[in-house]
Amino acid sequence: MSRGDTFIELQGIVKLFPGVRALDGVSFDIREGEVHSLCGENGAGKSTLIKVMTGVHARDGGDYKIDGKTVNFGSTTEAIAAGVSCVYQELSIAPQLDVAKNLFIGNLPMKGGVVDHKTLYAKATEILQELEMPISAKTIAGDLSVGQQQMIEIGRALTRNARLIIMDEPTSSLSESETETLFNVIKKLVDKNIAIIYISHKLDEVMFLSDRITVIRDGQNIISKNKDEFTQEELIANMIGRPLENLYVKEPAEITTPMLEVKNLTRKGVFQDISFTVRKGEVVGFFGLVGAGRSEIMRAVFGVDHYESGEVLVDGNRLHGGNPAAAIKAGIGFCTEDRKKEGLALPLSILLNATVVKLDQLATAGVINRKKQRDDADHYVTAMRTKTPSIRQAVGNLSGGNQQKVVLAKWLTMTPKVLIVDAPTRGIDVGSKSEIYGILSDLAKQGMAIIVVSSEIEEIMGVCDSVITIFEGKKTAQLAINPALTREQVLACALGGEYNPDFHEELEEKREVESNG
Amino acid sequence: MADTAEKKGFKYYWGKFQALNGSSVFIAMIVAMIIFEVVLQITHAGTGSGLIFITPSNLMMIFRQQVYIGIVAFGLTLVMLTGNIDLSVGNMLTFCCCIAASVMMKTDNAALAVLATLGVGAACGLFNGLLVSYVKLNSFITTLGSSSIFNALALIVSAGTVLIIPATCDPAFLAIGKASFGPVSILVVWFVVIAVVLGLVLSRTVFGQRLYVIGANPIAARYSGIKYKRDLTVAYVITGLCVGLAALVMMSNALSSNPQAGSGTEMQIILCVVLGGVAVQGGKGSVWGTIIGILFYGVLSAGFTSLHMSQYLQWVVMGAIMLFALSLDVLKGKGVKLWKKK
Repeated sequence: MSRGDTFIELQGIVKLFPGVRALDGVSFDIREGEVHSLCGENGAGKSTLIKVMTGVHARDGGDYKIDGKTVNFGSTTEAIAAGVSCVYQELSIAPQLDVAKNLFIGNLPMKGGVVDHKTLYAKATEILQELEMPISAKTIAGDLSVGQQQMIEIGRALTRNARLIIMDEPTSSLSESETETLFNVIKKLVDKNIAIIYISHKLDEVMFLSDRITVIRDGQNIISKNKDEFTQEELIANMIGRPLENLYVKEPAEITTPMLEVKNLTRKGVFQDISFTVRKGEVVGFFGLVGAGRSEIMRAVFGVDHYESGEVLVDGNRLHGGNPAAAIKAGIGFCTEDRKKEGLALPLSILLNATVVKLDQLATAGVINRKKQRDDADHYVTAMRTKTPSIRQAVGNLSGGNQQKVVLAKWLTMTPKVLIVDAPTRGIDVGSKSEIYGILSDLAKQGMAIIVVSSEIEEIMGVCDSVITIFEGKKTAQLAINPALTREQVLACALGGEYNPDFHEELEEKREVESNG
Repeated sequence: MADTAEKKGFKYYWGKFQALNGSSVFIAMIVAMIIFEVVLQITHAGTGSGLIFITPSNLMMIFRQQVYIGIVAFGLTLVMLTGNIDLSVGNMLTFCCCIAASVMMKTDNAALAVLATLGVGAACGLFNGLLVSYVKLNSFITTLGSSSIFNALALIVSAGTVLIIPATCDPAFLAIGKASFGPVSILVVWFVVIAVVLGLVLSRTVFGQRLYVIGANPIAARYSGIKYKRDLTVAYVITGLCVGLAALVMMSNALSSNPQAGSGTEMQIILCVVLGGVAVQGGKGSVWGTIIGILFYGVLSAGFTSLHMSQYLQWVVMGAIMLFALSLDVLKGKGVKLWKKK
């Protein structure tokens, strides 16, 4: 087999779930050593397709061939043996074991019935070098960063002689430099003739990495082309089934009195002396690198974390710190970064999740008025065009974008005065993204004070009135967003500097060097 | 999509039934009843006529035996929904029985006995609840420890002897467990009242719905402004009150308290709740499910006894059933498919 030859073929794959045709005749093929991106909105069928390919689900129709032979994987183990590995969004690292053992887990080199430690560490070191990881094979895996752990997963696929590695949203929790390393590793893998299926909502990554792109919509493959034949607009239009006029929605709103005032907020070692004001109708962005302390500030304002000094005023009233219930009562809503961990009770219904912060108001003497509760949930769920058969559905069954809408609904039911949204569009598709921006814009017009925390600079510049940059726990600047403000200015402030032309040039130079190299 | 509408009918309602909490346990219970009936018919061939196991009087007897642990199981459902557990309910029951008996022996005042017993039950629950929610001890360990304390307290109160309430005591006390409303025994009334009240608390009140959220995702509960410590403590106190009530009903019937009376019943009670479909991780289950669990347990226990299975062997079987039910629960939670659909 040589580079560019087709070795995996899927023809007319069908997968049925009760009441849904999750896959309805998907066909595509993988060539040796290519990066093939799979694009589609949440719920389009990407995950199901991956699960069929890796032996998690059995297909209900169609043909799946590797090297011209039809395969029927009964388990992921069989798929791995045939060379198909997957790096999932949820990592499967054993945190107490060292790196070498994690790499060779389930497949440890043996000698005379016991683990051959010498070979193990030698082989592991080899793989670490290949992955450009400057760490010892004896490092405990739990001490690694998420990005490094992900590399270990990729390394694990290598130990199993993978011919195809599927990466599902690999960069969703990586820092920029980690993303860069990942891209280098992908290049190396491709050079070794390993094929990659790359799944990401970040379309610039897709455009940068891919050789070919396949778009899936409603369980069918819509289009499969070389990357060069696609424009980003065309890609989005194919994903959502209509042209998207404007991803970012921000209509002007009347900005009036201060609603949230934060004064000299300090938590030692996390953030220092943070002061800012958000007014009615204003959308303020918080931008900074991962780990700069953006989310931590919001957690303190909302009261889930404590702070040592400073004060928070909502509509002029001082808020008692460290008490989320009091913050909610004062009118702060907080859509957290991690919706599954902090935002939603996944096994429970949309109905309960959407009304949980408001139950007290929906009850008389502790007994819930169920009609009011239903009407309330229905209203917001419908207003946000959440796709679900019923509000009795468990939230865990919804796609990421729809889950995010339920989180928003949960806070909107209590009609907050201040709404904090942290990474509101993380891991959700471009169509839902645009809808969520629209919702935020509407809320601002209705007079809500909104804070958007994000690590996506385009998002901040697209939907906010002004941006506050955070660097190492300190506020470095507050910039009004207008056509004159550039990405580089914001980025410079977020990197600790003030805007200065020299720095700008430096950055440009660095970019050029990168793109040449 | 179009074909789903046409297939409505048996399959549709079957699906609805299956979606109900505890439906599979309900079927298992019916199957068990039929098996016991068949086996008894075979072993008693020729001796009698008609049904042996599935008779109204036998089923009523089974039900009556389940009332005490049932009342406690309803309370425990609240605690287990939050993902916690209370292993002390058995010895708490013993302790409350001793309190009821000794107060009756010393004062012969029914009102005082009721207050004291419920008060002690609530205090025991409060003790557990405060440790679990405010001190943040693991509920398993906490209640294992408090269980031993309650056991010792029961021995201290009773001085290790059997306390006997005179049959001539305050008739109000006797009414608690022996009265009947026409043909309906007060035992049935207690069972139904507690089931309905706690069932409504769980499904209709803010407090009940919060318990589900706490169980399903305690972090999200905190971010949603739920005071989970307070709610969890209240759940433990309610369990304690249920234990107190069960002790009163039990004492009113038995009129004697053995310092070992309730010890070991925690396993039966937990088994009932687990069989009823309350997830050990919390967040899933209902009082309705627990009712089915209680009845199923009663049927099994009565069935085994009627087959002359020794008490020891019954414990083995019950223990095995509990571990099986827990395993099913955990495996289902992990998304493991127990059988493959063709």
